[in-house]
Amino acid sequence: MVAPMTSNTSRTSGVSRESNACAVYPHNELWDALREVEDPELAISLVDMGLIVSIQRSGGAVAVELTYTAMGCPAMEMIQDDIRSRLLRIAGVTSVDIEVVWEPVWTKARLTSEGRDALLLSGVSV
Amino acid sequence: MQNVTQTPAVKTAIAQLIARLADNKYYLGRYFAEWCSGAPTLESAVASAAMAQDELGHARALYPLLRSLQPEAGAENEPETRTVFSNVSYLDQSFAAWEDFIAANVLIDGALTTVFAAALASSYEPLAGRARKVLQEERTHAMHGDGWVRRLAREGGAVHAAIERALQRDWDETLCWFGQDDDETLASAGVLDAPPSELRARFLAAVAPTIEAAHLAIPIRHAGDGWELTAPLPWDRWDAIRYRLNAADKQGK
Repeated sequence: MVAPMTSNTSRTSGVSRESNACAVYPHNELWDALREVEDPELAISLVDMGLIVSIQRSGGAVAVELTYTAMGCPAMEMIQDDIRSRLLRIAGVTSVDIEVVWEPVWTKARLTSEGRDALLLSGVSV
Repeated sequence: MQNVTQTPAVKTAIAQLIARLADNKYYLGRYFAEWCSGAPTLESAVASAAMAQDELGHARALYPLLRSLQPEAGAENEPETRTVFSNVSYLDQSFAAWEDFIAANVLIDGALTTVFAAALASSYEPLAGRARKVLQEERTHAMHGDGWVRRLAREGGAVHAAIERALQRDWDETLCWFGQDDDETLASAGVLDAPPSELRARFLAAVAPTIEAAHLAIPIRHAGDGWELTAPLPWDRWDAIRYRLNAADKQGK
């Protein structure tokens, strides 16, 4: 599931699963930074929504694989801008490359338990 | 996953395939959006908005592939600046009535879905990588189309006649859209998992039960475990470059 962090080159990706079928994502500087970035339409972090597929760092370059709940998501550019802006605030990060991927297909199984709870509180059935 | 044989013929066929998928999606999205405030019910208006968003999203995910396949085409790779679109002719103009919306959803969107399903293991990986997500989103479009065809047909009288006419008008071109039987370039290269004749059969298997249940006069009949056409397709009007039918009055011009 999660590749171990190394000193300067690392790649981490989901998804492992808890017993209740919610997804679990890594905790490290990069993933935790994106936990601070919310989906513009819902008060839920991109990580808890399961939109972050993988994060790779090589020196100052960070590569993110990102998916969306829908191919017609109207907030695509805004989300990418927010990701880029937050990651560039990490010491040593000089560039952020974001690739949009459609595999794995987003389903609600990519939600964390926190994401699932937040959606329910927002009145969205999951 | 095998690699696409990079012959010029295969590359051209892939670009042509992406263009006709993207262009039809693009126009479906635009015309579906026009019914956000004009559909027969509030629920179907909301559905029109969601379906438009889906179709435009599918198109948006496809056009960038054209840029990598044919960079020399420049502005022709962008929907905003293209001058030649490869959409079926019945998407040359907005839907005049709700039954036109439903017919397009069932027919050309159903045909597009048939091709995406045939691309799940495509040797052209960028298409395979998008196909599963498109199919996930198209499930609700198919349910919408099936439900509305049955509903309109059940009304009987002029309403039944209207949906029947809309389907009849778009029928031949949709069946032709898969291509001629001897065009096996994409299947041979593993870009799609079947040639046009098989794709046509799969499409018939998907839509024929709805048509039969709704008692609509469409030229199909049972044949063994599947279905077959009972009238020849108008290949004399077929445009093999843009994958569409020319108007009957433009034959030979």
